[in-house]
Amino acid sequence: MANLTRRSFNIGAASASLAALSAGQAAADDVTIVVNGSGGSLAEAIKRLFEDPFTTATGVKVQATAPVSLPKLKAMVESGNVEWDLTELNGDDVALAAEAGWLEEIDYSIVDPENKLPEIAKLPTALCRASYSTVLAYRTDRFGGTAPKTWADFWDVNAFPGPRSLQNSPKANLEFALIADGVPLDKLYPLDIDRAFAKLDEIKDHVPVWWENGAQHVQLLVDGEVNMTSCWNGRITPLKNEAKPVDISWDGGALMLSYLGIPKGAKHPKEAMLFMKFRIDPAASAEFVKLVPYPGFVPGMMELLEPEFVATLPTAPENAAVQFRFGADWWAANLAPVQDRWNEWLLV
Amino acid sequence: MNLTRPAILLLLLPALLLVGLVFLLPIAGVLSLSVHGEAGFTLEPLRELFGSKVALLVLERTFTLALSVTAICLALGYPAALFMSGLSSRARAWVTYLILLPFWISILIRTYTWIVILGREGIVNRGLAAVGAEPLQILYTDVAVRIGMVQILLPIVILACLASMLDIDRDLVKAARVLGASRWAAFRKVFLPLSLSGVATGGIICFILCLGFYVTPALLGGRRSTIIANLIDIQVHRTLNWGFAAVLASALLVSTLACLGIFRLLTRRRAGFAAAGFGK
Amino acid sequence: MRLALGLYFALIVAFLILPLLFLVPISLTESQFLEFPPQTLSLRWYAAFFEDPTWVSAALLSFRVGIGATLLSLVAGTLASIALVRAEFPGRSLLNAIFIAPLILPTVVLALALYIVFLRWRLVDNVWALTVAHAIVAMPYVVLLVSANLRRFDVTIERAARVLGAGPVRAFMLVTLPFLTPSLFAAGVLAFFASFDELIITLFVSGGAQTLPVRIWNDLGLKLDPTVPAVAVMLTAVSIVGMGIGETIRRRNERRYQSETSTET
Repeated sequence: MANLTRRSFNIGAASASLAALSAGQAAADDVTIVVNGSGGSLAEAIKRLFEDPFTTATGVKVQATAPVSLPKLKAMVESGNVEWDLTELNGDDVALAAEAGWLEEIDYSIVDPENKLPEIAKLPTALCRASYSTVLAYRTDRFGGTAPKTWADFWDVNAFPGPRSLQNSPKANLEFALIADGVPLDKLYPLDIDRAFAKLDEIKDHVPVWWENGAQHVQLLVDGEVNMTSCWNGRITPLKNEAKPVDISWDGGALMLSYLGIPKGAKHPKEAMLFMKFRIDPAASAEFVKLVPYPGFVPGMMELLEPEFVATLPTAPENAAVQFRFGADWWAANLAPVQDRWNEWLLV
Repeated sequence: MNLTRPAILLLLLPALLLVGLVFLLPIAGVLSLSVHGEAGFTLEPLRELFGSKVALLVLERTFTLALSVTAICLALGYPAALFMSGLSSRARAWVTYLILLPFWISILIRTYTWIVILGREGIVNRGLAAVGAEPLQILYTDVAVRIGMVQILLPIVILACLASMLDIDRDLVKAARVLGASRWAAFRKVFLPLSLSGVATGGIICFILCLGFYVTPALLGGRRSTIIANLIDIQVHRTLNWGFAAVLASALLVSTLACLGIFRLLTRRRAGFAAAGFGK
Repeated sequence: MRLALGLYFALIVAFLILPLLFLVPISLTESQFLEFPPQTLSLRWYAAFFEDPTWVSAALLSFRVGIGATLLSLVAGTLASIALVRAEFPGRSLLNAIFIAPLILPTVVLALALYIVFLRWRLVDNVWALTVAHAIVAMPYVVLLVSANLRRFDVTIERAARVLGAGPVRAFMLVTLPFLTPSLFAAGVLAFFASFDELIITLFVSGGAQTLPVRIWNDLGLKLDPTVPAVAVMLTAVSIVGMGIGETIRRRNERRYQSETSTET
């Protein structure tokens, strides 16, 4: 009974703030919020599933921009000319931006009035929007029936010969090296940088190519350019659907989070938060995840999906259990010196 | 030709406005970051530059790469332009179009086709395997970077050389032949010196463009193929160390302008020499 | 000699259009990945271009910005070249250096710089501002090529026209401009494609508007599907047709106004 009352109170509060908002809006005539995302082919789906229903419900228009860019965020906040009302950001970028004070506090009584979101999804200045994994992907036709399953296998050039690829970035690669060297998943942070680079030395000459973007690592596998690579989980399902001889192992994968945040000094923070609420609509999120398998922590979404499909998602319990949570905070604090060392390590 | 002062100003005005507002003003703000930190004047980024083994190494590699690609482009492009300059204007228009066709293909996607051609299981290696030869590791080496860059820059060099060859007065060459010079001598003593300005222009454009290459080395090169634009990009996008990015960019700008200055001094002397030789 | 040169030239052309030859089959695949040789043929990626309004509008925007930037840089660059070559004034070589500097500076630095001032001037997401920004990277080509050409020009011819009663502008238009045609053409082509293939500056200052390279780039984080080669093949095909038409018109005009110049080496 008490529970029910609180619930109805919350709904009341939400609709009150909604009403207040639409009243303010009538005065300001039509408001357009600028939402910055990754753009590309997904922009159309985001418009259909989230932006259009939001505009219909609130009268607030949405203008989408791209791409996600940390330097742009810095430039606009520091110059006081804030172009965006909302932007996508990666986990370590959020940590960096929050530390620098580039993000507005989020009022979760607007975003999540019924308080349904799990704590993991709610940072003070950012809302978790999606999760994805950097995992080990390999060609199934190159190792005579066996397959590399762990980062130790990735490092084992005798059992699993042939060229491999890793991302041209220290992020997650240091973790993979430590895992290959026997560090347990829950003891990774703070990273032992020297030990990681020493382990990376072993594999250096077996990595002809260090990939730069998501399209490239997929193409490397399709073309047979490498036998295995670190890889974002999202593009493997379409590859398998086309019967390409490719598979992934979740073992030791890096579970990474992507967020939505409001730049400090944004012109329409209230409307942006209201739009966040639409971004965690279970039905629309379920539709969206079918297009790109990077689920957020939207309560009630998984129930709307086929169990076989859920098993291919990074946050499926059996997949999440063998991965580690990527240490966004550690990276935000240590990126500059590690990146310098990485640049030098690659060159010599 | 004597131009009056107002006329000079008027001619320069559009370009000055453009460069002033959309280049000098913005760039001054960013480049000043190399000596201006949060606490006012600082030499920290400059110290970082000279203390950074990576930065100096990458600068050196960038210039070596630019020089070698420019040399290859000029060597390949000059004879091609020479051939085109000898065609009738109708035929020349058509082959010019042929040369320009690759421009329609985004550099991003052109780079990907080299992966198909040069890759481990690409056309070249499949061909080699068919005749029983060992596969070659071409992709992800400096060779692949150079092939990719030459393919992109060669049309520009050809065009620049051709532009200068077309305004050479062919009667001068004929005159030399009539006066008894061999074909080769007429070419070497008359045509070649006159066409050198186009070679210089093409070479300069090519060299400068090489310095700014970003996509090709990143996608076709190996771990050692990083050049200065890649390094600056990391400072701008990833580590947000804009002071260091500004210092790297300034270092590139200064050393490039110095190279061009030296080049101009050398060619000025050489142009005088060529003119004297022509008089003989 | 001519034959050897011709053979050599054919080889060069083959090298230049080699990627294009591979892109045709790659674009005709059924797969969502780039594969060579394609396993099953289909036109689905050509259809995909026309079904997605963002691709079509990106192509149109690229042309619009490219043509604007070319015209702007041709006019400003040519006028400046005249002053740089024909007049003596203090700071001339400094100005020369400044005019070509936008080409030297890595575009990411220029992009960041432009973004910061465009934010202040509220010019982010403004097509005209984008065009002007592209003109700045296109102008160095014009200055370099046109001033090189002007330096070779024999001023006495123009002077002769002046003596014969033509005004300075008329003398320039009638005598010098035709002489400059090859370099203006080359400069215009390079300027247009400098804009057409420009990525980094556009990513920073264009806001929501997408040119073709930006449209491709925004997908790259996730995937590279054969729409991209399909676009390249279509652009090339359109350009061949366009060039054919342009050439026909040019030839008709040429026949009307001037006789064919003899061109024997």
